[in-house]
Amino acid sequence: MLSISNLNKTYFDGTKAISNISLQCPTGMVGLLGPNGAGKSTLMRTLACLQPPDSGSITFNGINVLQNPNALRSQLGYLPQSFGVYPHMSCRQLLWHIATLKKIDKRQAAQQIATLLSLTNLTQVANKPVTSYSGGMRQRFGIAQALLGDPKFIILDEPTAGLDPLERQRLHSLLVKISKQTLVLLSTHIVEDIENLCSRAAIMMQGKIVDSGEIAALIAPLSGKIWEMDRRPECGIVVSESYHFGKDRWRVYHSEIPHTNAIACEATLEDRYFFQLNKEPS
Amino acid sequence: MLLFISGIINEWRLYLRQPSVWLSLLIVPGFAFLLAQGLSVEGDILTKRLTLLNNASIMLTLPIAVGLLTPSLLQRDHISQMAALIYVTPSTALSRYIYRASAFFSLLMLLMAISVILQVATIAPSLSQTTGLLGITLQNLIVLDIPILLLFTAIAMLCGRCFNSPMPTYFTLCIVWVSYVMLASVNGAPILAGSKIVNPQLYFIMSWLDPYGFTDIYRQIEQNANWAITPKTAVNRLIYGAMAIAMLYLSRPSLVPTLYPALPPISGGETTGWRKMKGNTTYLLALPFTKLLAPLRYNKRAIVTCNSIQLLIRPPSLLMAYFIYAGMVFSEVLSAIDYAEPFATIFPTSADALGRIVWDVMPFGGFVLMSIWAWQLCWHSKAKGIDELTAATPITNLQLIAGQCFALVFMWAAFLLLTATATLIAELYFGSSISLLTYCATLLLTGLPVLLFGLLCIAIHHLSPAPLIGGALCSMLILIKFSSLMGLFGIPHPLWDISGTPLQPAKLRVGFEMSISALLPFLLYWLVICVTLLAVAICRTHRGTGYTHLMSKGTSVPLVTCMLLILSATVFMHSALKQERALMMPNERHLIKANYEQRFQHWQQIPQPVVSKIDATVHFYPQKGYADIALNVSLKNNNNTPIHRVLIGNHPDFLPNLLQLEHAKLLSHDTQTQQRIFAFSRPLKPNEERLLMVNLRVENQTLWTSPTHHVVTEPFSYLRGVPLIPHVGFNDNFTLADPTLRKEYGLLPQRFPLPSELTQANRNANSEAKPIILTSTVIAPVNYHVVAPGELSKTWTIEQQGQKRRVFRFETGAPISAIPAWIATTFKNTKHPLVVAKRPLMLNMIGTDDEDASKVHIKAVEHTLSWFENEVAPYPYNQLNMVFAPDLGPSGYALPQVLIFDHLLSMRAKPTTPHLDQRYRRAVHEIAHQWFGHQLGFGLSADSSLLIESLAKYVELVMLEKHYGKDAMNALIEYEKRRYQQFQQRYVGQPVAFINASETPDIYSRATLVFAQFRQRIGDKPITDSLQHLFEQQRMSKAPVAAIDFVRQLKQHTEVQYHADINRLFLAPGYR
Repeated sequence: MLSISNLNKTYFDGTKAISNISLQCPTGMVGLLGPNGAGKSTLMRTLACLQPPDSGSITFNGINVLQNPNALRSQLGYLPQSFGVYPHMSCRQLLWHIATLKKIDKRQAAQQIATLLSLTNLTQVANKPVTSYSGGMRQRFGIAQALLGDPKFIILDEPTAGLDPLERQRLHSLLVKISKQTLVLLSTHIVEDIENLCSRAAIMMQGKIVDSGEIAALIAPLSGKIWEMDRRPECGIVVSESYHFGKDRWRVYHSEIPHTNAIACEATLEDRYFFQLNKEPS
Repeated sequence: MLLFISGIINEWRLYLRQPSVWLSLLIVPGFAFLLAQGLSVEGDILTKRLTLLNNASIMLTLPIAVGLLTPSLLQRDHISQMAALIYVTPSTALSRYIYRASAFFSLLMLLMAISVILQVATIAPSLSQTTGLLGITLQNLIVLDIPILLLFTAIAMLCGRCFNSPMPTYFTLCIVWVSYVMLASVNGAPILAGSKIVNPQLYFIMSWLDPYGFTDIYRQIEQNANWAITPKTAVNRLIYGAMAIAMLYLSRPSLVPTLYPALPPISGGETTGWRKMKGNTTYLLALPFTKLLAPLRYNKRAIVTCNSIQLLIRPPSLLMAYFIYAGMVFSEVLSAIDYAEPFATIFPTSADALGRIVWDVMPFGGFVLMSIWAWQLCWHSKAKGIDELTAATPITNLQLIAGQCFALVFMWAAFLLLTATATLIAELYFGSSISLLTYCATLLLTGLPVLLFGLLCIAIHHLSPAPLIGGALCSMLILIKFSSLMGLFGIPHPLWDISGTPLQPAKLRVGFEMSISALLPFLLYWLVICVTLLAVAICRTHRGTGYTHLMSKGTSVPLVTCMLLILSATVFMHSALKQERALMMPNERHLIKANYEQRFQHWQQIPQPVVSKIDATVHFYPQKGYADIALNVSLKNNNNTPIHRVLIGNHPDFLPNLLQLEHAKLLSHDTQTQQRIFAFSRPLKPNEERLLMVNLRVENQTLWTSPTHHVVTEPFSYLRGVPLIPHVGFNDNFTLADPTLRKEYGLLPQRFPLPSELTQANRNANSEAKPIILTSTVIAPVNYHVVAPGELSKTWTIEQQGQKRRVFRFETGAPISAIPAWIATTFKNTKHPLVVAKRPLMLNMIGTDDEDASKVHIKAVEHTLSWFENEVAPYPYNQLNMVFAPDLGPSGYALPQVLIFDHLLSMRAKPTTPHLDQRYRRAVHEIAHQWFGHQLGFGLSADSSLLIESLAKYVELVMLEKHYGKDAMNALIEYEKRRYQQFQQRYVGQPVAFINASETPDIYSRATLVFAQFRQRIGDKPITDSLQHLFEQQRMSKAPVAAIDFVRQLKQHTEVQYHADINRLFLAPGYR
């Protein structure tokens, strides 16, 4: 569905944000993982046609996005990491404004706005100015506007930021439902969300995609080699150091049992992500 | 097409929810409506007025409206950080551009259409005339307005695409606004007061290339009420229409790179390119301040102030504003540092240089900068989203607001320093006399109100729920201060001069003494307001997060206390102002006048005595700031019937301590109109006299500027007898003259015939200024010189409360016009015994300090008195006083036997051309009033000023020609011709005959032109013969003569062939 090849982008101040990225994304939900400054947002903004790449190509459903960005925009839903809203406009008025810009038929727009307000649980406050919303409510408005117009390609940059657990759950259900017919590109720091929702993922480090593919395939190399223990291991690669009920917990990558107290664990995407992080030079 | 309409509707849906749109819908038509208030005209003049009004409103409000609207409507994506959401929609950048440009243009059209409709409805007296104006309205809208609206749309679109923040847009529109107004003012735009054509080449260029197309229109409507689409107009409008479309086309999205919200560099990316260069420039410019602040940067008490100052000195747009301000100050000072008046210059001092800017440019610039600084200080952290981070630190609200106030004080000091530097450079460049002490005193006294306004703005912003509301409130205060808006609403008050004081320019030898007493009370009042509002802000707001986050508990008591304090201070100031002077709203004044006429009109029919003699005793106490006056006024019955009752009125600002009438009882005292009715215990028989005794004190006012003619200061005290002397009988001058107001208050129309229609039967004689015998006893400190009408008959020294005082006794002997004046001063007094036309004359000159100027004035006295002696009538007295006073207002003022001249214009100014010496001209003019005004030209209600001012202008022509030559006379004629042309350009009333004219330019400039034509065509003899006849007629009949008598005499003393010229010049409407 989405094909990215050899994409490069360097900012005017010399920062090389993405470097020679190639990626294939079929229908469904694709997760984008990476530390701060890895180039995830740059990639998403480039895919959303907000900025042109220096080189490379993007194709979506046979459309050359760089040559015909408007063809993509008519199928695109985009939620940036941070966004503002026009002052003095209610949620409903702003959705109408964006619906007009998305060239949605008036009747359809009315129907979609009502549905999306309900889905994002904003119906009760739809006539209040968005500027008066809390962070979570504003994020829900962002999701609603991204979903306007039944987009075929949805880019969500940190969609669950600021949402309470219930709203997060609602969003997850919605995304899973939508992603059956749509490509949803999801960027988040909550690795568990990607693991739960996405069938595929890509890991970005320093502007490059270091690995991508089915989540199971990404985890497979660690299978049977992740150990959990309550003290710092003397051998192996420490994947993560965390706490459980206030006590230290270490997860270690090692082909053999690193200590007699070590317990064998099932490898997770988080292990894969931390493993990659520890492997790459900072 | 449907998509296009849908796009525009979508824009309008957004517009209707923007406060800036509603604000502009209020301001632009509101201003247009206010402009249309005032003079009502009819007929063809109506179309001319409509065009001028339309031009004025579009010129003065359009750039402001565009500046107000552009950020919220065209920069909204970036300002609201919604660019990403909008740019990903399938609507193309070009289509969005087209929708926005079209919607913006339609909004501007709507604003102008509403403005024009309001103006038409306001000025048209009837519905039929409204429809008559439809043609010119459409012509103005289509030909003049549409191209300029398109141009402003293009400018706004360009700003929207090029700038990410509102400040550069405001700055651009401000430059556009000021530049055009300045350009219009040097090209004779009739809607700008004082505007004249400075350079004919520039005027020619503007007639083709005026962006608004007004220059050629003004030329057309000078001659005709309507304007036509001439080839010049058509080419001009087409050029700007095409330019606007070209600008819109060239700035379309495909050609201008779109500004994306920039992402920050990820790790250690070195800043390169223009951004680095821009940063360096700003850094270098702000470096001196940065270094100055460096030691304080890490001081916990000073950190808020330091950061706030950094915020105000680093933005490039603000830095540019400071440079532009300094440039304006420099050019304003240098352009006219030595200007005195046309054809005259002075050797300037620092007071003159500062005087060019500290009363207008500096306060206005200061107020605007203060409001911008306050905005930046109060909303910057909220705009950048760091307000709550700051609020979470242990800093207190007091520290935060105090830090901002200290930053503002620092910037205020820098602002004064910038003003002083720019002025000083101009002074050094010109080579004037520099006094640093004058700089310190003047800038401090005039700069304090600017600082108080800044503090007020900080309080307002902290107490406002949104930046727009705070900004609108501050802008409103600036508008109220610098415009006559509240006067137009009928509620003028000195306290509308926001954070202002009545301080007046320092005068040579007097300094600020005439107004300094008012400075401290006003400053204290505004300080109370500022401090109280700041205290409320400190108590009620939550550490920079705005008024929406109120402190929760325990704040209502201080809030109420503060509000009560503000209210009490305002009530106290209002009462104090009212106590010193009758402070009245216009409607109150109108009501009093209407009541006066209704209650006392019948006194016009009741015979009343007239003032025949006054024996005045005036005690001057200049050091204490007051003078005590005792008047013994003799009232004489000049009627054939006895008088039983007398009506005596006083001016509300000069109420007597004692007012007694000999052999009379006070029947009633109307305190509202200050009218007393006395009944004689035995009637006042014909020719009998009774004494009216009046005691009053004139105090130098402490809260008001001293009135022009009633000043008691240490170096100079001057009291004019009018209106200190009570008025006897009904006073025509205290009635409502405006026909609309008379109708409103139920008064019948006044039936004064026009001066040209006066006959012997319809003359309405009044008792005003009838000649009187005056005796004055003036007592002043021993080192003072005293001036009063009449001959100094006696002088002696007395001791009063242990201090020696000098008594001066003056007696007029012969009657003089009843406007006596008494002056006591420490200025130099020189006596010049002269012999003019074989008559001795003692000329006293007070306040002279220039030998050359004194000689010019002595020469003027000799020439004028000789001419009158030979050609008209001799000067009837043996003495004449010339007083060169600090600037009191008029450049010259003539009282019987006392002439007062402005010191700057008469002593300091030097002529720039040998052809015309304004000092001589002015002296001749004022001396001529000893005949025209004080012997002829009074005693008739509603007669014109022809016999007073216009004839004095005639004498100027004669004297200049006789003693300075034809070139001097022609120079004066040319000057007056230009002045009159400027007046005609902006005059929208019906043309009137010269004899009936009452407008100042008619009385002075037109008079010069009329008499110049008359003299050229007919000569002086008929004029002097006519004047001789009139003086003789008045002496014989004792009845006042009228202007029409003069015209009749002119006809009698000329051949019939010249009568048509006399009719044309004096009696036909308009000047040709």
